[in-house]
Formats: sequence, structure tokens, C-alpha cells
Amino acid sequence: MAYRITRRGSIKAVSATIGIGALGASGRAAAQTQPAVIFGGTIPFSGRWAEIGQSVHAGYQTVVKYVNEVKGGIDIGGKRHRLELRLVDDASDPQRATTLLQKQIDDDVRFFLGSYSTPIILPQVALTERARKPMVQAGGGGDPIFTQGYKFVFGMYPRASRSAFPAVDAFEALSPKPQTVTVVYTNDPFSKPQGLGVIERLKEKGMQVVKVFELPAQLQDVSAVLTSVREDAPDIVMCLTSDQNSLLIARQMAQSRTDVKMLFTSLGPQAASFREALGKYAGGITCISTWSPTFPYTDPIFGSTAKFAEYYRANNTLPLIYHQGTAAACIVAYVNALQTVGRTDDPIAVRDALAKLDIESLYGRIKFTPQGDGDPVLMGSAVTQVQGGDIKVIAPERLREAAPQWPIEPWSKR
Amino acid sequence: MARRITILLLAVLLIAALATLPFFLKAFYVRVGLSIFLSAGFAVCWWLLAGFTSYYSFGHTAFVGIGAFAAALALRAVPEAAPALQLAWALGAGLVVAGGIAMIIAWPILRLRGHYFTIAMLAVALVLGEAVAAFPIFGGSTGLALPNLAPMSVRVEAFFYWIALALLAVVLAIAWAISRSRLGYGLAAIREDEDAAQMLGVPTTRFKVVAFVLSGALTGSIGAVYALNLGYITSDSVFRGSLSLEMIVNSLVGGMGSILGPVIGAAVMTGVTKLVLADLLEYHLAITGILIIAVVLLAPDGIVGLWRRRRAREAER
Amino acid sequence: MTALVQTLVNGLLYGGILSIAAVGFSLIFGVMSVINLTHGIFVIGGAYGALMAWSVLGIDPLLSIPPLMLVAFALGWGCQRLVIQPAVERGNPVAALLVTFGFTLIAVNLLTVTFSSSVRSISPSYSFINLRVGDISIDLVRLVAFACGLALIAILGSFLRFSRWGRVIRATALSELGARLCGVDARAVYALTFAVASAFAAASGVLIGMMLPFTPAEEVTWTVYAFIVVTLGGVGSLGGAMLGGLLLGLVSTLTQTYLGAVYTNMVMFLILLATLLVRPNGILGSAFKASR
Repeated sequence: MAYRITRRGSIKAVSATIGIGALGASGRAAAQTQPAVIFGGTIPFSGRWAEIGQSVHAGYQTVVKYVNEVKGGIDIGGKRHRLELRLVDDASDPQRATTLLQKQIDDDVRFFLGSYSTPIILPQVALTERARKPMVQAGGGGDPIFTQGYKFVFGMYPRASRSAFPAVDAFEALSPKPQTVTVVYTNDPFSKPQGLGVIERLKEKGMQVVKVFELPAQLQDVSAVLTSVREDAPDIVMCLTSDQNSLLIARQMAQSRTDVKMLFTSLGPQAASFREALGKYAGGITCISTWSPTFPYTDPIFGSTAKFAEYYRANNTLPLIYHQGTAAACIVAYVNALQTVGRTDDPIAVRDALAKLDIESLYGRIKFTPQGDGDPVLMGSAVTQVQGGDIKVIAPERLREAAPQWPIEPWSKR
Repeated sequence: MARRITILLLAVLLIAALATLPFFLKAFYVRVGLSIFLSAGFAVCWWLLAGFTSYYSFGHTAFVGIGAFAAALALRAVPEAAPALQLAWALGAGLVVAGGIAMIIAWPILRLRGHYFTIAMLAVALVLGEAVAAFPIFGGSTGLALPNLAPMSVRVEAFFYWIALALLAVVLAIAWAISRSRLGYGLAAIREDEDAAQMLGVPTTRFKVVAFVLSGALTGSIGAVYALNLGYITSDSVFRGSLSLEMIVNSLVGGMGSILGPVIGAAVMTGVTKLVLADLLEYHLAITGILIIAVVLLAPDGIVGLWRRRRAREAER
Repeated sequence: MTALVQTLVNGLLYGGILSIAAVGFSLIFGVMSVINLTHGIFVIGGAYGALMAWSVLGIDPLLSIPPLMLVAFALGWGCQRLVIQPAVERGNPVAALLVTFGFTLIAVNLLTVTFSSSVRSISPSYSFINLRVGDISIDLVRLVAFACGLALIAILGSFLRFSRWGRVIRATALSELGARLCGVDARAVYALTFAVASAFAAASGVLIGMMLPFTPAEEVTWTVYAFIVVTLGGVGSLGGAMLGGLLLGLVSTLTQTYLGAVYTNMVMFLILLATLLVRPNGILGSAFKASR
């Protein structure tokens, strides 16, 4: 009972501020008589991935709260069911994560949601696979999750090595076409394959990779890299980096007046705090938005992406970024599969339904590849650019909100 | 002599009893047991050096990481061998490579004393962790997957439970044998006063090196099991500062004065953090911190120390 | 050529920050022989303090340094008196270390619950101003932080050198027994040392917060860097921390430029190891009591 503590009054205020809204007592009481669909899993609430863990958790929580309190449960096989989360803290520690997940498998939890980061999710998938119970996750994009023949794991993203393709494709379409690109990635299980994938894609698309920088996983100082960028003066710098690292790079670029025609950071500008920290210097920075609350999709539970965003913001203070959206989509996918199957006691049938799933959701189209990751075209990210303090989709065409700003303004002219 | 036989019999009985537990327990409790054996194994290995000589290593995760990566890389060489052979091969690789690296660094690093040794071991762990991540041949940044070696008929968690239990028994037996040997007395002399021991003719350097290499090699073999059990390792997940700290915390909580200290400490700390505090999403770190401070301040000789003090008091009455 | 000069300038500026971030650790290590794992939490705590002052009260981070130092001084004093001193008195070298570890777990947990673990940063208006000297580019904020760091080190240096309490601290560092025999209350000196060190750690945290994004989990980084700087330069000496920090900054940027950034940390840690093996007392250090 992970939430008992958060229902205590004294802690409630704190938990609300960091976005762990507990299930409201009133909604719970009304729904108490309905049978529950229990989703298990672990969340990195402390340790290295704590920040993202909180967002992922808030995303799961939002769907559950909405279904139970606003919709009064969901219909599965003609009977109303409420949803229940049973998530515990894995402290970003894989050994702890597997041990705690085993407890839930023992307790006959049938459906699992993802933690965050490939080193945690991969060992967990080995357990759920053996127990023949599905896991739908939005936290592990590492290629090995999808290349070892596992049948019960589904991921909301295309695997890491394919995940930044949309950005390369968008740059190819710019006019005049960019010629030279410097690629920067950090040496971790997600960014590195992402970076190597980007390098291949750039070559395929006829752009020249001037230089490649492989950086340590946590950056303190990139002034030396920037000195070299100023010398090479590439058209585009593409950084496959976490938001903290991206902030550092963008900041040091602005400080040192390292001008390029386009700056891309895979993670960062999606968060308002990132844009606020950089102020006018955030303008023009491009990123891939796996998801954005402005996407014009319909959703079987919330009605639309916008309504999900509205409900989320009314109940949470933690800024709404793509982690909440992708996490929420995991449960939307489950609900759909459960309704197709019409019963909650058959995880294998639910797995089969998930594999065949093809729906539109608040996240966009959900259709998994036969290996279980997101389809690289259908579920590929949008490419967004900071314009006027907000992020605007510049590609693909069907989602476009604004024309790309190309080249971006030099730092000194701002 | 009779007492020694009694202890031996009791130990065998206890191990046999523990070995039957997976037949009765749910998989989760088997996994908690597995976690305890792994942590206890690590803690005893750390204690082999620290408890005997009071050379406190702050970087024993280096040997966990070496063992883990040695096992993962060694298994790539024999993808087709029978699982039992692969297991032995992986454990052997962990043991030998960790022992070999321990032997290489032993002489220079054991010249350092006190805090300097402590920091130097931290540095060793950091350097190796970074190197395994930085050089692509090790694959530490993107991670290595290990095959599942458990036979189809055996539950995986039970399989590793038994391996970890067996290794813990071996490590304990070695520690126990050392404590009653010439080596053990020599090491204890080093702990009390290294210079005096040297003057009295204890070959201090040789003894320290033996203890260090033994500690490193055994940690490496348990590291191999740790990696096999996880199935996927990265530099971050096995060269992890918190692993080093756990060995120290477990030993201190249990008590440095006895071989059983690290085992009891590991059982208590793992039990508390995985069973009692597992469901606390937000505050379990703080509670663990309070627990550590409380043990250090209220039970400086650990749980074993508390128990001994009570027995001594009862004996006085 | 420009690249080399630029690299050296960057290295020195970064090194200055490493220096100021390590002096507190050096002081505690030198005087009390305690490996203080709470160091990083005081650094990061300083950054969060400045963030609060800046975002809530609108106070410039540089102006918030003195009040934050006072707060950290008080916290450090209390922390030392309540939990660390009792552990030091146990006589076990690891007891004090473990207590600081436990304290750090609690503090990280509280910081996470209070501020969430989101990435934070402090960007006063002048954070993006850039100075140009010929072809060399210098970030104003790094230069300011560097200058403040030097000023703080000078203040701490003159306090240790010229004030009565400073002399007592140095005497206790040389020989606790000797100092006791001269009527020094060692416990009071320890508390004072810890408090002063905490204050300077917090001050460095403010400077770091102006330059780098931070999260509660970042504390580990600053504890480890303090380790390296202090070991490299020499324990318990301010000059050592200065020299160690500057050298390390240079090594870091030179490695980035000429070897590859991915090796930066590895080279830094290798230097730590090599120093320990070749000259365990550090470049400027003399043998101190923890090594005996």
C-alpha cells in the first residue's frame, strides 16, 4: 500500500507540491465496491533518476485519478472496474528494483508499468517475461530491451538508436539544406546509441559529420568542446544529452558566444524551467518532443490531449512534460487492451491485444513494432523549436505549428 | 576440540536449513534472501581486509565491477558451452581477474595507511568505473547482457539463492580458517600496531597482500553472481559507490569484532530496507540515514557488540 | 595557439571554483581527520539557499553569500555537536564517516522532498555576458565566481593566520594533545572548524549554482571533487587546496581538448591515485596526524 503514507494530512501538502497527488479520499470511497485493476511496478523516487521518476509517476497517477473520480471506473466485460496503482521506490538501484518487482509478481499483480532507465527496466523485463505478464513502459528505450526476443514488453518510444531520426529528417528538409553537423552525445546506455544512430542517419541524408564528441555521462564543463566548435563552425550542433547536460551546454554556448545556425538538444527545451533558465537565449533551440500537451489528438479516456493537459494541470503543480504524457499513454493502452479482452485475469490475452493495438490516444497513434518498441514512423517524435518563449512543432508537416526559424539568431544580437 | 565440532555441525545444519527455504517461500522472499546473501558475501569479503587489519577500503565496488564485467566478457567467449560450465567459467573469470588486478595494485596501495588507503581505494574504483565506461571494448557505457544460466526446471531466483548461499558459506569458511591461522594472528597484530608487528618479525607486507588479494578475488566471484542475477550490467550499475558504502555500513551495523557481524548487519539492513521500508515512496532514505546514525552512536560495536555486552553483564550477576 | 590559451583560461577559471569548493573539506580533514561526506550537501544546500533568495526575495546571489554563510555556520555547528562529535569520540575511524553518510542521506531526502529533484539553475541578469580579450572569450559569471572564490579563500586564510581562533585551529590540527595541554578545548575547536568549513562550502555552492545547473543528487560530485583537489594539493593547507583546484581545472580542460572529453573524469581520478601513490601528502602538504 504505497499511498497510505501520502494520505496522512501532514505529508499531503508536501506530496501535492511535488506532484504525488494521492487518490482523493472521496473518490476512493465511492469506488471502493468496484473490482480493481491493479498495475504494479517500481519508480525511481530517489537516486539518480528521481527527477524523471516523479514526472512518470504523476502521469500514471493522473489517468488513474481521472478514471476513478471523474469517469467512475471503466467498463471491462460489462462490469465497472476502478484502477489502482501499486508502485514502490526502486531508488534507481537495479538489484532493489528486481527484488521489489518479484514481490508484486508473487502477489499476483498481473499488469506492469515501467520504471525509468534501461539498466533498471531490462532486469525487470526478464522477470515479467518469465512470469508471462505484460509490461508497458515509457522509460526504457535501450535497444537490448527489444532485441532479445522478449514478447511481453512494450515501449512507447522507438528504440534509442532510431529515436532521433525525425530531427535529422527535419534538418534535411530545411532550405538552404545544412551541410555540416557536429554531433555531441554522452556516454550512457541511451544517448550513445541515439548518437550513433544520428551519425548514420546524417550520412544517409547527405550531411557531413564534422566532428563527434563523446562526453562523460555527467557534465561539469564543456568549454573545451565549445572552443573546438568555434573553430570548425558547423551549421548544426546536435546534442544527444539529458536536460541537465543540455542546459549546461546551451548556457555555456550563449556565454561564450559560440554561434551556430542551429542548436539541437534532444532533451531540455521541453521543460519550462529550462526555457526560463535560459530566457531569451533559449530562442531557436530545437529538440525532439516525444509528446507535447499541444498535440491535436483524440483520446479514448480523456477525449483529447488538451483535456488531459487541462485535467493534469488542475491537479498537479509539477510541470507537464512529455514524461507524464507517455506514462499516461501506457495506462490508456492497457485500458484499451483490457476492454478488448473483456476480462482482467488473463495477462497473456492482454499481451496479445497490446501487440495488435492500433489506436489514437492522447500520446498519438499507439502501434508497436513486432519487437515491442514504438513504430519509428508512426510513433516517432515531433521536432520542436523554442519560439517566443514557448515550444512550437516545426516537423512533421501534419503537426506543424510554426515554420522553422533557420538560421537562429546569433547570441550577441539577442 | 569438542566445541569446534559443535560449531561446525551447527553451521552445516543451518546452511542445510537455509537451503531448503526456497521450497517453502514465495519468490519475493527468496529474492530477499538472495539479496541478503549477496550483501553479506560482499560485506564479509570487505571485512576480511578491514576486520583483520583495519585497512578500510572505500572502493570495494571496484572488485564487484571487475568480477561482473570479467564474467560478462568471459561468457562471450563460450556462448555454446553447457550452462554449468558457463557458470563455473564466469565465476572463475570473476575470481581470477579481480584477484589478478588486486595483486597488481596490492603492493603500491598497501603502502598507504589510514585515510590514505581509504581514499586510494575510492580512486581505484572511480578510475576503473570510468575506464570500463570510456573504452568501447568493455562496453560499460551501453551495457552488457548476460545469458540466463538457470536450468529450465529450476526457478531462477532459487537457483541464484543457492549459488549465493554456497558462496557465502565458502567465504565465511575462509574467514573462519584465517582467524585461527598464523595469518590471522599476524593480521590482528597489524591491526593493533603495524610497526610493532613488523619489528616482532611478522611479515606484514606479505600478510596484508594475501588478505587484500583474497578479499578482492572473492568479492569478484560474488560480483560475477551479482551480474548473472541482474542479467544486464552497465558501468554505473556495478561500479557504484553505494555498493562500497553498503559493505561498510553492513559490517559496522553488525559489528566489526566478529565474522558474524557483517552477516548479521547485511541481514538486518537488507531486511529493514527491503521489507519494512520498501513501501515508503518518499522517506525511506532519511529513515535509513537515521538508522545508521543511531547504530553508530548507540551501538558502536554493532549488534554483535550489544549482544556480547549483555552477556557479559549477565555473567557478572 | 588560441585554442591552447583559451583552454588554459577556461581551466584556470574552472579550477578556481574547484578550489573554493574544496577548502572546507580540507579544513575538516586536516583538523579533525574526518572524511566529511556531508561536504557536498552543504555545497548544494548553498546553491538551493541562493536559489530561494533569488527567486523568492529577488536578492542577487552574490549578496546572499554572507547570510547563507551564517546559516550554514549555525547548521554546521549544530550538526557537529549533535552527531559528529559523539561519533569522533568513539575512536573508530569509520564511525565518524558513517555518521556523516547517514546525515547526508537525511539531508538529500529532505532537499528532494522540499525542492523536488528537478534541475534548478540561477541565472541573474549578468549570467550571459561575455568578455573578449583578443580571440579569447571569458564568461563574466565564471570570472566573477573565480574572483569571489579567491576573495573568500583570502578571508579564510587571514582568519586562520592572524586571528586567535585561527591559531588555535591550526595548533589543534598539528597536535590535538599538545593543544589540549596548552588549555585548548578541543571539542569547541572541532565545532568551530566544522562550522567554518560548512560556511565556506555553502558559499562555494552559491558560486557553483550561478554557473552550473544542479539537483540534490549532485552533492556526491562535489564531495568526490573535494577529495581529489585536497589530496592533490595537500591536506589541511589552503595553498594546497588552491593549487590542487587550479591544477585539476587545467587537467580537466586540457583532457577535454586534447584527449577526448569522455576521458576527463578518468584522468582526474587517475591523477588522484597517482598522487596518493607517489606523494601521499599532496604537492604542498606535510604529513598530518591521520597518516600516522
